[in-house]
Amino acid sequence: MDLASKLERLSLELVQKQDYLYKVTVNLERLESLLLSFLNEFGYITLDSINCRDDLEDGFFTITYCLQTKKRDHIVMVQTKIQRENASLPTMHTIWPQAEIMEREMHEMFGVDFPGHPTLIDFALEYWDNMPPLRRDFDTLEYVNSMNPFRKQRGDALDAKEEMKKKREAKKAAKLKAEKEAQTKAALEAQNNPSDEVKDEE
Amino acid sequence: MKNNLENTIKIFHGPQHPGITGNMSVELDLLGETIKRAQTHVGYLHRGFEKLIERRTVVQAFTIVCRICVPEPDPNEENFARAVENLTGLEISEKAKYIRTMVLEMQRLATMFLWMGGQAGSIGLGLIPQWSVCDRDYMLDRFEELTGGRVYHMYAFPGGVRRDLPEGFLERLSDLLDYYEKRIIVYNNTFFDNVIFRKRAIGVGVVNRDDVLKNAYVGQTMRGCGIKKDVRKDMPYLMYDKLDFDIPIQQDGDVYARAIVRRDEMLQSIRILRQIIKQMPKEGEILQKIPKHRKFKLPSDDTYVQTESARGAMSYYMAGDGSEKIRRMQVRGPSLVHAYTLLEKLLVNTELADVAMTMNSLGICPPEIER
Repeated sequence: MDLASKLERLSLELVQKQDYLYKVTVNLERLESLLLSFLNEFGYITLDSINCRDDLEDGFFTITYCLQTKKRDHIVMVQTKIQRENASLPTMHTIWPQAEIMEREMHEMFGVDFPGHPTLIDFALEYWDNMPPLRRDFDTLEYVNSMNPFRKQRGDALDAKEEMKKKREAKKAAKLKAEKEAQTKAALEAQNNPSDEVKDEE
Repeated sequence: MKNNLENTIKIFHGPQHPGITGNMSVELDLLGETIKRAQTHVGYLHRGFEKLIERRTVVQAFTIVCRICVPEPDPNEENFARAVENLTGLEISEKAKYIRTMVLEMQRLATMFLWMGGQAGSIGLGLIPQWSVCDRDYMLDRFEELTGGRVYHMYAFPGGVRRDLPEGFLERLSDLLDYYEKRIIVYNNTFFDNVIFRKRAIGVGVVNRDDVLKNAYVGQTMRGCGIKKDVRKDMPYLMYDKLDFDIPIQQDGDVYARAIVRRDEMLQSIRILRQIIKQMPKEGEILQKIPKHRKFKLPSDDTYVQTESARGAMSYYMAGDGSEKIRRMQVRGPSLVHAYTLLEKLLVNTELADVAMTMNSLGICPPEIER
């Protein structure tokens, strides 16, 4: 592929991942200039998507720009890593208008800042004041429980484990009671009808 | 602000509006009947699929990906299955590939019939939706027979498909295609050649051809501007490289051009399905046996897959981290860019009555925008 030699001149390596999929990794400082080179020099005029992945354990976000040429016969993933704390990326909306909405979504879902972006407003979440929800340290269960507490006196407010324990104990007690009753009944019957035993003795 | 918004009134087109294509809203600033500014709002159906999926295994996530786009679940299933296959190196049999291609084309036809109902209904042609929704139901019968589900199928699993074809299925599908071929002639006379539709749609919602590729407009929006591109031809997947079909295009870039492209694509889908019926292998494994599929581990790697849905190219980014859970899955459907970048621009200086028609012609599916 011709692109590979062009990137080699920039000291970057192009890796083929699938038949139609290639990947190049670049550091943040060179990202903007590389994307501009892809657009203006290499002919990758379409920005298909911007993807973000939270690598919480390593402390960074992995950002992937997917680009296509006019022929649309392959996709190149341009990948970079940014620090999770005070995450910030250059905005691409001036050269690819669709980046405006993609970056707005990423800002809302991951908290990545885009200095110079004109509309970093709500996307799908209205008046959201919590941690950006697609960060991996966002605890969905804790958030749901804090925002929607169970109402008292309702069936779904019961603790399932406790209820199961109570049920098991009740069942056990009922079984013991039934056994005891059966024993008492058998003893009473034996007292009332001693004739069989007398006959045996005779 | 570019537009002069003095003396304008503001109305919200949706989310409670029969002309809207789903749970979204377009905020319109009107001067008389003319739109001076349009702003898209979503968030009425945010179900957090991407968050749900990152805590789930492949088997658990498989059952929810189809719900990302209600009228068109199968391209989602295909993308998900193919992304997992790419990451793990799973190979699927030729028969499974043929079946998956068949399901995608069946889905394309079903989606087109539903679109036709929406498009005709948006300009007051009330009869067409009644016919086309009924005709779509015949395809849903076939889906029910094949997969057990009418709308959501959960059929294309990583490694193949879940069930084999029922006895006599291909004959019944062939009969349905005969019926559809006759019906498309009827739709052509009553809808596509209808003077009302032509007068309303020609010259409305014209997309600038120069913007198409740079702004990532896809599907009929792209092909309606004369750009002959289709993922099935450009980056063939499954059995598309073994099938003979054309990519219909139109030059005008308006609502009518997009409708005609869709009509021609329906005929191409029928053509593809006829070839599949002929070429379908009698024998073959339908689902590759995966050891410990409940604890199926994805390697620490990422991939990007693209499928041509009935509304344009739909892409998935997927990453694994060596565990059983999917690290990240991001959905990029055609609706995001069409509903924001394109629609907001396209509606300016058009009439209020054309909003629903323009939205329908772009194939916007709001559940897919916010996931």
